[in-house]
Formats: sequence, structure tokens, C-alpha cells
Amino acid sequence: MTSVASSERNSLPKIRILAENVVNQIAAGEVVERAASVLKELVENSLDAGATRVQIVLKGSGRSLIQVVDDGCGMSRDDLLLAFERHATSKLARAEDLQTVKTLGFRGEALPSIASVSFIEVRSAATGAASGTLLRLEAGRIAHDEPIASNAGTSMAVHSLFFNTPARARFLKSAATELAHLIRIFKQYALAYPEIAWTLTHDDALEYNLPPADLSTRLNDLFGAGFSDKTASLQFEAGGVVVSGVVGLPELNKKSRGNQYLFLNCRPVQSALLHSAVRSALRELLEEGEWPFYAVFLEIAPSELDVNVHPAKLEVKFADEQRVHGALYRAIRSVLTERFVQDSRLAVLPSDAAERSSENPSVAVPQRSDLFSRQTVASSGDMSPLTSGARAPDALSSEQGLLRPAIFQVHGKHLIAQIQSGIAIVDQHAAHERVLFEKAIRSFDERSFHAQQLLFPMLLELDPEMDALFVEVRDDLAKLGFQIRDFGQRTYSVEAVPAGLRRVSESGMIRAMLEEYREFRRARFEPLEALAAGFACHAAIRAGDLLTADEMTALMNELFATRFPLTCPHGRPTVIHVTLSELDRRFKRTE
Amino acid sequence: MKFQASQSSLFSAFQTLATIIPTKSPMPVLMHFLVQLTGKKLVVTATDLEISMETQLEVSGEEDGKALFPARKYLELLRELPDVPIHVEAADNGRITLTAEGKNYNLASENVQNYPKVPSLEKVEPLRLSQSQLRRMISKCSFAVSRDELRPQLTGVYAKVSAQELRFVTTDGHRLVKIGYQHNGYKGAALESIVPAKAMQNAARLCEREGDIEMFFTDKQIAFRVGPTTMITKLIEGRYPNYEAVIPSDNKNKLTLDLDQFQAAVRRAAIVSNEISRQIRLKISADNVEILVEDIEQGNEGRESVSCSYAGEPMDIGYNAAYVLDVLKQIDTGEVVLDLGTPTSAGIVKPTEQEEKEDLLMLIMPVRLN
Repeated sequence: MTSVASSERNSLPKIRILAENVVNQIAAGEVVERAASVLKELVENSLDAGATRVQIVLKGSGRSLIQVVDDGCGMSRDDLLLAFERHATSKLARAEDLQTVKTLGFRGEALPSIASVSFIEVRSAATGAASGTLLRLEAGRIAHDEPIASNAGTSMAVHSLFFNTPARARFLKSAATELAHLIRIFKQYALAYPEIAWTLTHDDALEYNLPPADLSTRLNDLFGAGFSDKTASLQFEAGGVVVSGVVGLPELNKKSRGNQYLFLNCRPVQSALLHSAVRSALRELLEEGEWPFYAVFLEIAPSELDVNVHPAKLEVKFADEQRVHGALYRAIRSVLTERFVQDSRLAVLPSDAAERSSENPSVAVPQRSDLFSRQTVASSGDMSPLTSGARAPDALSSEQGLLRPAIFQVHGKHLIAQIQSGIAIVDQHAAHERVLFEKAIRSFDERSFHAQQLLFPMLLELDPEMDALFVEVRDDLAKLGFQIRDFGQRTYSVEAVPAGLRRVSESGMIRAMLEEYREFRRARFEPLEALAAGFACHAAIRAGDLLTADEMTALMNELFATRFPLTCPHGRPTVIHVTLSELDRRFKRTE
Repeated sequence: MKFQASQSSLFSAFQTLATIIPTKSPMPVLMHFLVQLTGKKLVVTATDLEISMETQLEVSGEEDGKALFPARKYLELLRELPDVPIHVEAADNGRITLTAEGKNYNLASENVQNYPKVPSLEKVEPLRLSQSQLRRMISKCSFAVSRDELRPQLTGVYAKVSAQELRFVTTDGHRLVKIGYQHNGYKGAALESIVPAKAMQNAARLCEREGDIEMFFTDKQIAFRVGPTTMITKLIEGRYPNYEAVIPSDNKNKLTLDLDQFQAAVRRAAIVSNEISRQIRLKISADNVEILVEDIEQGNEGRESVSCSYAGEPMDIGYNAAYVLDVLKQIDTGEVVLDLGTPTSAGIVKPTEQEEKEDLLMLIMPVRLN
């Protein structure tokens, strides 16, 4: 019935043999897209065999040779023969638990497909067996079959891939591209299985030699010494979703993709949903067009997902997408600390401009530039001497009668401040949004907003849609300082508002917040963040609000005390930094 | 149109109207003075469509006429000219010429036909008041005007005139000022209206001298007249909130404090308070008020005590320090009285003694302490 069986029984009708070959070649087109797909299948087989050492040997970017040698449980001759039969997965023989999708390969179509488009040499010996088997296949047909002496484990060598499918061979990209794909597959599994020892040799050069390790050592071994220091570890569990792994600090962001590693139950997967969760969780740290580094592992009960969507098993589907998205999002948000900011972007904003002005008094350095010194202050109160530092030079300059405004407001919407390395331009609305957003988030726990009681309670009448949103957020609004009484029939009385808001239209506030909340929810913000963002969006000063010097100072202070001063909650920038060299270049002063 | 007048008389007349001229307007004609000459009487008008102001002066007229003068350039030129007779001429083509002792300036202008129609003073019985009293009342209440454009009524000054009293009320929902004055008599109709804050500010500017100001109340406009100058303002439509209903009548806790001591203490606390919330806390007991301030975000805190006399329950109450300072600034007596209800209800702030014929009452809403 199959190619393997038929090669032993030549009496079977020819037409059936051909049909099987065609089937395998067609299947090969689906499963075996390129050399990297072969490597993936072979590595998964080794892992499923319980290997602790996996050696990979490549030649000619995989076109000449892809060989994977493991010390796994190996296969008996019967298993081996069966393995090259379509849909007869050899792993079914191994254990009962293989019937779940916890193993990597399970469709049983990979090996016959690969075999149909290559020459294969397999050496395998089952654990405890007296001898092993050597099998050679040519385009799926057994050409050689003999017992050999061998240690437990399997060596599978795939030669001359696509030798008989020139169309497919033509589709292969340059050797460099194919090699890059192979390396990526290697890195994926090396990351997913740091406890396994891996080597990779290409054209007789040892490219990687990875001893068994933990994830952070593995990261360093794969990507360079000190790499793991530029990442933050994830450890999170919610609603049956366990998240681990690392996300990179912004300095690891790249303009091109390729360093995103996502694993579901240790299986490399692609998921637009999960990628968007990572992106939106990291939104403040990503600039337009940038890709973060991450190696994220999710563990979910197999019953909650469907991986059998595509033969390459890369795409997954979840029973409850929102829950998985939420868990991953929160896992990342929860580890984002000031460390992210400190180590990256804000470093460009200097801290010693004030010192410099005293060294070189002829240079008019504004006194306020030391605002930027406080790059990171924990909300709870790591108290840098900012306030005194910012005030003192002010007093000095007024004594000297030098009225040098530290911060300028232009067009009623941007603040411009001189900093040592150039100019910082701040969008006042976006900046204030960031400040209020973080304060609101804190307020959900700490109630940092007090309630300013109102003389004239404001009546709020909501339509059914708005009312449904309102009911969702009502308790959290109270934590922001709103006090709202229910009059029934979707009518409420607002009796107190968050204290200390300036230039805010209180009367329109809740309605506007609800509308923003709805939009942020649609953009997949988590509920509290959506509410905080809606609040910040409405309560923030706007373009056109003229600010006093004190207000500008306060705003800058508060902005740079936030966790993510460089973006507003939408992810848009709050600060544009123009360096002196950029200015010189634009003025054509570059030497 | 041709006339001649001294630099000083021209400058002071035009200067009076300068605050009405909008700095930016989609209607460029509004950035001009409307100038009309009839015999010796020169009438100058400015408007921003909401408020209009007119003043008159005597000049030596040579040829009657009507023209627009570009406000900023004309006024700045006048300011820089020496105090000598200035000859002004508006040509039919709209150009304005100023000539003085060999100086000659020629300004482009807009067509006078495009100037909007300006409302005229309706002759009703005026209320007569000393300029200083009106100025005082406006200055006492203006701080509490709201900026919330979605509640336009609160952005104005509520003005109520009756046979006995002129009353102004302002509120932004967080604090409220009610100031009344027993005037010397008014024979016009009792009226309530909401006057735009900008008009009130301009009215206060008109009250710079000794002598009286006349106010003309109608249901569409209010006019103020001082000497040759008249300002007419449109009113804000809508109902003013029922302020009387929110003035507590049963605040039983009476706190009396030395104004200077209390003010100085709150000012110090305000420095340390959170820059946004400005929150302070008053712990009131029988003979002293402890003022506590804590800015968790910046890690600053402070406390001090002010002696007081207090009849009431011990109370712990939060306020926005800026609001407290705003109301204290309006107190002219050596001591201030706070009539408090509960830590979440309106407190009444008053001087210990009212000025003659005056009744000043302020409300301040607390911040609920968590």
C-alpha cells in the first residue's frame, strides 16, 4: 500500500506506487518548503526521541547535506521502516502519552515527504538493542538495508535535497538566505531546549557548540556575551496560561524582524495575536518600524488550542484568544520597570548640563536642563535632589537679573528646552497624558487621586451603550476620585471629581472618558489601562493651553519621573530630541 | 475726515479702548478703531462683537467723516509721538495720515463700510455706584470664575440688581464667592444676568478714578458708563445654578484664625504640597489647627500649628491649598472665620466683620481624604 512496502513487493500494481510517490512529492511541497523545514522535522524527531545531545551537520546551506545526530531512544528496524510510511508515525509505538499533541511531530507525513525528494542515510539503534540498522533511501525507495553495530540514538542524513524536483530547487533562495533560515530553526530549538547540548557544523566549520545550560546562559551563548543582561525575565501565570522567557530592553530593538521567538508548549509558533500582545505591551519602547527581541514561552493545556492548522505547525489557534493575549500582555507589562528606560533612550538626555554651564559661563545653558537628570524615579519615592537642584539656579539667575527662561512654549502646544546634547521638544498634551496615565494606574491601587467635592453635582444621562461601559468601569472611576450617585434609569449625579486637575472641562469629562475607554478597549488595551488612558486623554492639558513657567517646570518634572517618559499612552512620542550634531548638519556646519 | 488734537488727549482716549480690540480675529475690521467726527465731537468705538466700548473727546474738527484706524499701529505711533498737536486725516481711499511737526505717517486701513453694527446704550434707569466699590466687588469675586467652556454660565459673573442691593456671584464648582452691596438706591427693574468675565475685567479697568460709575441693566445687555466712556456687553444666556441652595445654613463648627498667621502657614505648606493636587490637611482641635502636607510623589512633607479659637467637633479636613489662599486673599479683617459642616461639605469663609453696606461670603469645597 505504501512506497516502502511496495519496494519490497514489486508485484503490486505500478499505478499505486506512482500515486504514492506523487502524493509524497506533493506533500513534500507543503511540509518540506526548504532545507530549514527538513532540519526542523529532523530536530523535532530527535527531541521527541528524548535526546540530550543533538549534533547538526550542514553542507552547502543544506542543499548537499542536512544531518542530525542524537542520543535519543533510537528506533528498531521495524520502527524505522514504518517511519518512512506516510501517516504511520513511528512515535506511536513509543509511549501512550504520545497520543496527545505534546510531542513536536505527530502527523507522520514528514519523513516520507522528505525522503521522496532526497537521498537519505539513517543509522539508528534503539536503547538496549544489540545492534542497529542502516537504511539508505533514494527518492523514498529503500536502496540499502543492513544491520550495523551502533550506540543508541539516531543519525539521519539528508543528501541532495530536491534533486528530483527542479521546480522546488529553483525556488530556493541564495545559499546565504537558506543558511539563515537553517540557523534560525537551530536557534529556536536551542532556545526552547537549553538543557540539551547542541552543536552545529556548516561546511566543516563548527558554528555553534552549546553545552547544556539555563536560558540566560543559552542566550549569551547564542547571541553574545552579556546579551541576557539586556533582557528582562518573564514569569507570570494567569487563567491557566503560564508565561516565561525574556523580552529585550529597547537597545536590542532592530529595524528588521527576525529576533522574535515565540514558543507554545516548547513548540516554535507564529501567532499574529501573540505578537501583537508583545508589541502593545512594549509600545512605549518601540519606535515606528522597530522590532523588539523576545523569546517567550507559553504553556497552555493542549485542550485549549489547535495546532493542527498547518502541516508546518507554525500557526496556532486558541480557544480563548483574549485570555492568552491578556496573560502575555500582563506578563510583559509587569516586568517593565524603570530599568528599561534607564538603560536606553533617556540616556541620551544629559544630566550634567548645569555643571557645564558653571564651567563655561559664557554659554547660555538654561538652568532647567537639569530637569532631565531625574530619568528614573520610582513612583514610591526614590528622592533625587531634583527639586532643590532645579530651583536654586533659578534664584541665582534672577538675582543676576538674567531672565533666561528655561523652557519655552511655542504655538501653545510644544515646550522647548535646551539640553546638553541639543534640544528637547516636548508635546505638552502627550507629556501630560503620560503623567496622568501613570498616576491613574497607580491610583487604582493606591488611590492617589483625592476627590474634590463639587458644589453643584453634575447630572449625567447615558444612553444604553454608554451606560453599559459606565457600569464596567464605575468602581474604578471611584478609585480615580470620582464620586457618582445612581439616580436610576441611566442617570447619575457626579458629586466629586479627581482633585488637582487643571483646565479640565469637568462637565464633559465622564462621557469623554467613556468614549476614549471604548476606543482603547478596541485597541486591545486591558480594561484598567484603557480607563486610565481615557482619563489621561481627556484630563490632559491641550494644544492651545498657555502654560506658566511653573506649570511647564512641573510638567517636565513629572514627565521625567514617569516610567515611560518618552511616549504617551497611545505610544506616540512625547519628546523629540534634536542633537547638536543634527543641528550642525542641518546648518551645513558638518566638517 | 480731518481733525487736530493733542497727542496726550488722543492717546488716552484710544488707549482706554485698546483692551477690547481682539489680538487675533477672523474679521480684520475688528482690529481697528471706528472713528467718527461730527463737528468737534470725535467718537471712537472698539468691539469684539461681544463687548463694545465707545469714548468721546473734543478735537478741533475740520471735516466730518467716518473711518477705521488700524488699532495697533495707530496706538503705538501715538505713544511714540511727542505731546504736540497732531493732525489726522482719513482720505476717501481709506488711508490714514498722521502729521506732527514734520513727521508724516501714512497707514493702510480697512473699508469703514465693513465695520459691524455696534449696539447702542438703552436708556434705562441707571444704578450709580462709586468706581472704587465696583472695582472692589469685581476684584473680590473674579478668582472663582470657571473656565469650563462646556458650562458657559459658570464662566461669567452672576449679577443681580434690586432696589436695595447689587450682588455678584462667581463659582467654578469648587469654590464660590457671593458679594453684595447695599447701594444708595436704584429705581430700575430688578434683574438677574450673567456677565462675561472679560466684560467685568474691563469694567474694573474703567473704575480707576474717584467718582461714580453708572450701570444700565436690561435683559439683553449691561452697560457701564464712566464720563465719556461707555461699555456695553452682551450677556451669557442660560440659568445660573441655584447658588443659594448650596450655601449651608447649619454649619455649626466655627473656626476663627489670625489671618496673617494662617495665610503664611498655608503658603508655606503650599510650597511643599504636591504640585498638581496642592492638597493640604487641616486637623482642627479646640485651640489649634495643625496644617499637614505630604507629597508622596516627591517625598516632601511638613506640618505646623496655628492657634485658633474653635467651637465645634474636632475635624480633619482636606483642601486644595491654592483654593484656601485664594479665599484668604479676599479677607480684609485681621481674623478670618470658617464655618464648617463636615469634612466633605462646603465650608463658609467670611471676614470677622463686614465692610459697611457690604456682605462677603465665600464657600470652599473640601477634598475628600482617603
